[in-house]
Amino acid sequence: MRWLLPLSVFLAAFAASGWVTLNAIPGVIMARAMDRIAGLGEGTGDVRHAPRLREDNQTIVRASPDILYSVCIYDLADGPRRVTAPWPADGSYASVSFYDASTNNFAVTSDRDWGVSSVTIDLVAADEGGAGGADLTIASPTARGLILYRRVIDSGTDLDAADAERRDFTCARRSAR
Amino acid sequence: MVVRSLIAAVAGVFAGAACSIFLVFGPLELGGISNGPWRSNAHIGASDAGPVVRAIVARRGLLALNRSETVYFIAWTDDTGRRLREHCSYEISGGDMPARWWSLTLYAEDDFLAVNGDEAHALSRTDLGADGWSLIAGPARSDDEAWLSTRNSGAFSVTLRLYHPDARVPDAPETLALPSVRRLGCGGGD
Repeated sequence: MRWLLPLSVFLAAFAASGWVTLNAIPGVIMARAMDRIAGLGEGTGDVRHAPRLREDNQTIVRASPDILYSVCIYDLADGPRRVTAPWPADGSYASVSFYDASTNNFAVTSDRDWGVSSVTIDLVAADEGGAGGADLTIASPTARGLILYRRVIDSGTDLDAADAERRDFTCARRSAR
Repeated sequence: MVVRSLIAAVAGVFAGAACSIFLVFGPLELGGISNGPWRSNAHIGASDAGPVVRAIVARRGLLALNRSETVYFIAWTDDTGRRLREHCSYEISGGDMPARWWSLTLYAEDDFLAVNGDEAHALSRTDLGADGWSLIAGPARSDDEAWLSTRNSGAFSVTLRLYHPDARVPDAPETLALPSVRRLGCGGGD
């Protein structure tokens, strides 16, 4: 009986600590990844156009060498974002995916969703409306996060053209309304 | 009693954190469904993933796409369940996959591309063709067949990505005809 209370305390502390740790891990990994990405490749503003993945320039586990990646790290405390995504002229797969600070992929859109050569997307805080004028408005569950543009490349791709094309991916800050 | 309870609380905090860290960073493979040597998890990239899956995916597949865009299958073993090893050679073969485009990528034991200078980490539908295909995954370059280098990859894995998969892929992944992974032989004993 005298061990009943300590045992109960142990189990409660075990469960609480385990739950907190599990929920904290994605955020910690994401924060480290965002720090590494911020120093990656070339870009303008908050966009980084990562060079084609090779074994000597890897920053993220299980990234694909068949994809050209461009990344935007956002903080909506600075205001909403206007994202412009070009779709490949050669018909290859491309997408824009949105990740919150806990790694959740809360939204994605890709070339097959649109019959045009590019799309504009407003990314706003959860309690904010869109500014209008964009093809799509998406609300982010967290203020900080990451937008990832993917563009398939393969042995038949004109790499110079694909690289030039994906550089039209932009992620500009807009003043809050 | 108070001292014992305090000790129990501290021990519980450390044990809970340690168990969670082991669960995520230990040798645990993602759960989900199995199809031959291939495993996949419906919660990869999904916002409704539980804390365990989300933490494991953050570690092993950060920034994955959800299943409407891409379905990921990972093989850590051959068809008979033996762990994939860098000094062994394998024939991976199959047909066209039910997706708009697909690729196979070999990752080293640390989940990064192996550092071996071979520039043979991935092959795609464009390289292998839409009909029946096969490739060799092994330490020695193959001049006659498509090749993925296993050099310096340890207990490696192969990831199959299906971009814009047909509806039956996320609906019934265990019923798909996925590539076979057949071990041909090992150079360093196993």
